[in-house]
Amino acid sequence: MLKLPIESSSDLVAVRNAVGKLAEEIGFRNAQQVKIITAVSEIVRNVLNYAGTGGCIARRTSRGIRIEVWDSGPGIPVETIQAIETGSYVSKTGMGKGISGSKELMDSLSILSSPGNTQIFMEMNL
Amino acid sequence: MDQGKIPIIRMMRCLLVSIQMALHDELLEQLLDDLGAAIEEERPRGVVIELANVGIIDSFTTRILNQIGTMARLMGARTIVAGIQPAVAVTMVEMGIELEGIETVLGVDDALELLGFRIDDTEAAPTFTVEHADDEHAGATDGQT
Ligand SMILES: Nc1ncnc2c1ncn2[C@@H]1O[C@H](COP(=O)(O)OP(=O)(O)O)[C@@H](O)[C@H]1O
Ligand SMILES: [Mg+2]
Repeated sequence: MLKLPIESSSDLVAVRNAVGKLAEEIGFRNAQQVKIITAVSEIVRNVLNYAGTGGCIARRTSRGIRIEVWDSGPGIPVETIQAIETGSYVSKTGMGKGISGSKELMDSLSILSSPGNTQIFMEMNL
Repeated sequence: MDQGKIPIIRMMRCLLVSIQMALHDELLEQLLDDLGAAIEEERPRGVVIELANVGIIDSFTTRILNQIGTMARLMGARTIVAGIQPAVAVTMVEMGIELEGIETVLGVDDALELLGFRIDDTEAAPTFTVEHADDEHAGATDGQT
């Protein structure tokens, strides 16, 4: 199991590297590793951009990998989550494809968010 | 931040960038600034960015590349990205993120060819020419600036 802080943009590179290495050890093919680290990169950057700091846990599961990213920032507004889900989200700060794209890349992505507590869970199976 | 800089090679009125390091966000933002300055100084025909050793392109990276492309176009230069890894390309397609206003090719050779460079290596001593077709700065490519 990996537990990594998200405090500065160099942590973003550290998280990508560590999660990539874990995914490789678990036995994911290169194409899947790239998807996993890209999704992690999107979600971790959101923490840096919108919450400031947080953390990431990645672990091997019986079927593959599970990654949790959390922060104590303002939370993702319900309207934003709904817009992302219906594909109508337009971002002021980015391309607006971070969460929706990560959901496409992973086998599952779920969001639990309220002010002060945001958690994003992602899974990919071998 | 102290992780160095992405070097820009100035060659034959082209700017050549080959990314060989982990892409920190600050490095990319710095590259955008540095390329802006270099385009202004050099008035290049093109900017070639080689990404063969880049294992991840997320939406932030894509956005910066698109900004480079737009900026270069406004200043009269083409931007060509070379060597995106297949797994990275597939990932971008799945996420729905695209390079806009940027040409993409497999290798740096192809990029240089798009910019009008021709290498004829059928002879023992290869010859090298630069085409001037539709290049507004073409006059300077043969020596005079
Ligand atoms: N951890 C977070 N805390 C608060 N808001 C967030 C967080 N992650 C994402 N958001 C909000 O959700 C929106 C969509 O995120 P994303 O899909 O990554 O697109 P982008 O970052 O390009 O805007 C962001 O613009 C931001 O408003
Ligand atoms: Mg984002």
